[in-house]
Amino acid sequence: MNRHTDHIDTDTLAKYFLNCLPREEETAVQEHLCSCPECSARLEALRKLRGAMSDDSGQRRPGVLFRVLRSGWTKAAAAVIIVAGIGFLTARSVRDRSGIVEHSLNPGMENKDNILSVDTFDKADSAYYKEKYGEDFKL
Amino acid sequence: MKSRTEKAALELLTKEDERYRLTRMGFIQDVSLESARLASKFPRADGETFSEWKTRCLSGYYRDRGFKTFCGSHAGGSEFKEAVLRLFRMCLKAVSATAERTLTDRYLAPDNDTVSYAMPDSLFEDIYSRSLAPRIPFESPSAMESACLGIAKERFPEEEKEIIRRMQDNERLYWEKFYIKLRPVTAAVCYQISGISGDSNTHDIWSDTCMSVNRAVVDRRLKEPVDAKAVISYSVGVLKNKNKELLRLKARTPADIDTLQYRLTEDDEEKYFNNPVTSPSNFPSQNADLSTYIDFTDKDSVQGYFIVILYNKEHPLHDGLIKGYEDKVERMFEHYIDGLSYEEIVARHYGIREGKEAARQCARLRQEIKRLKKSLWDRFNKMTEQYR
Repeated sequence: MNRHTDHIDTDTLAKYFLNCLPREEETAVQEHLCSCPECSARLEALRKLRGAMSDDSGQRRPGVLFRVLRSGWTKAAAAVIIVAGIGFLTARSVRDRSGIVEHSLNPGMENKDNILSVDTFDKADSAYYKEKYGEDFKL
Repeated sequence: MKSRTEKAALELLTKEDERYRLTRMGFIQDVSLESARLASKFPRADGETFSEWKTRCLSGYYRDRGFKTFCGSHAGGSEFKEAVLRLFRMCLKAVSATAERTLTDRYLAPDNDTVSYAMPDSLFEDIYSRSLAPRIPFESPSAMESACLGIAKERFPEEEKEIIRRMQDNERLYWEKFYIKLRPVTAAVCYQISGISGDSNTHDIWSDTCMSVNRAVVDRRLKEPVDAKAVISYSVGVLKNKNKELLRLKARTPADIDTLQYRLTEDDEEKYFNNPVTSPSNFPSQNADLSTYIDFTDKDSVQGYFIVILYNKEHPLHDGLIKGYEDKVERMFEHYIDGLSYEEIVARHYGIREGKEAARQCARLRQEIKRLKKSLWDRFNKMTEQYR
């Protein structure tokens, strides 16, 4: 504890956060924390950061291809392709073939971004944007 | 609004959880719920000091929640063992911090590190089954910690012949430490014999020496009985040999490499270990600053230290960590620490409050923070690599 300012010094707080303080010092820090909102806030900041960072740090980011395959956009694109493919084959076998290519295209697809450009978006992102900004939102 | 006792109870239990991994080992599920229970059951009595209250309420809490029974039924589980291993490492670190540096460490460990108080996983298995398991169940995590501390004091420092035996068995933990030890020694020998310096110039000599010494020890080619001084002496011999070869190649005249000394003299020791070229400040891996906190074998410890560097602006590594990302880090702090939403941050910094542009900026900010977390973590790992 810094006697001049009556706050826990940075080094001691870091040691407390990292479980490196001896028991007696740890107790003294805890007692101070109960009555000092400023020091509590500093400790809370460290804990919040750890919580935020532990989502991603230390975990290997999956490869781009994996993320593309896993993303909601890809599933949607795959579904469109499959449906269009089934439609195309069915139409081919039972109807006149003229104009079939135009029919199988998804309307408005030419205006969409390349689906490969969404490689940094995961499932959570897709859901977030969908919910927050609507289906038509483009980054 | 939480009362003072509730706040204190929450802090106590949060720390207990951080220290003993109570949630991870399955003893508790929700720290907030448990702390509320603790505060209502053990209010602070009049005239009772904080320390007395802490002791009373924690011992009462663990007794009521049945830590002893939990301990008995989970002793064989991997999560429980993992928590004990971490605790034991912490105790060992505390013991070694106050202990006198051993001669074995002087010859085999980097300046800030120790082989005498090092514990490979195989050794922990042995300690756990022989010394800790018979003492289970423990009344509380602090009783468990006391047991670990007692065993650490009793069992360590490890005997030199045992360390050499483990090195002969190619135990990675000891070799890694020894390789780091060899870095400044390599620099000193190279500097003195062939006049070369700098990590890039000496790296190949160092790595070749590491491999040569490892092979010689593991294949039992060193004259028995092998001790720590013999290992470092052999290493210096190999280094001399390599440097003389280098000189011979350069000079195009045969050098006498048969007069190599494989034993260190007092004079050599002075030259090799106290030379300015070998001073710890030139070798981050020998620097005591980082390793006083960080246990590179423990993921939580590494991550915790990353957070400390990131948050503490006065930390010597802080500027290096966030260089080029200063603004982004500021925004990340605003989001995670101050609790501002992306919309609020965008409004504050770009002055855009609504509409498509605001939404676009929010999405960009979110992506930016997400990428920033990964970039910072990668940079931290790169920075600390040299300290390992």
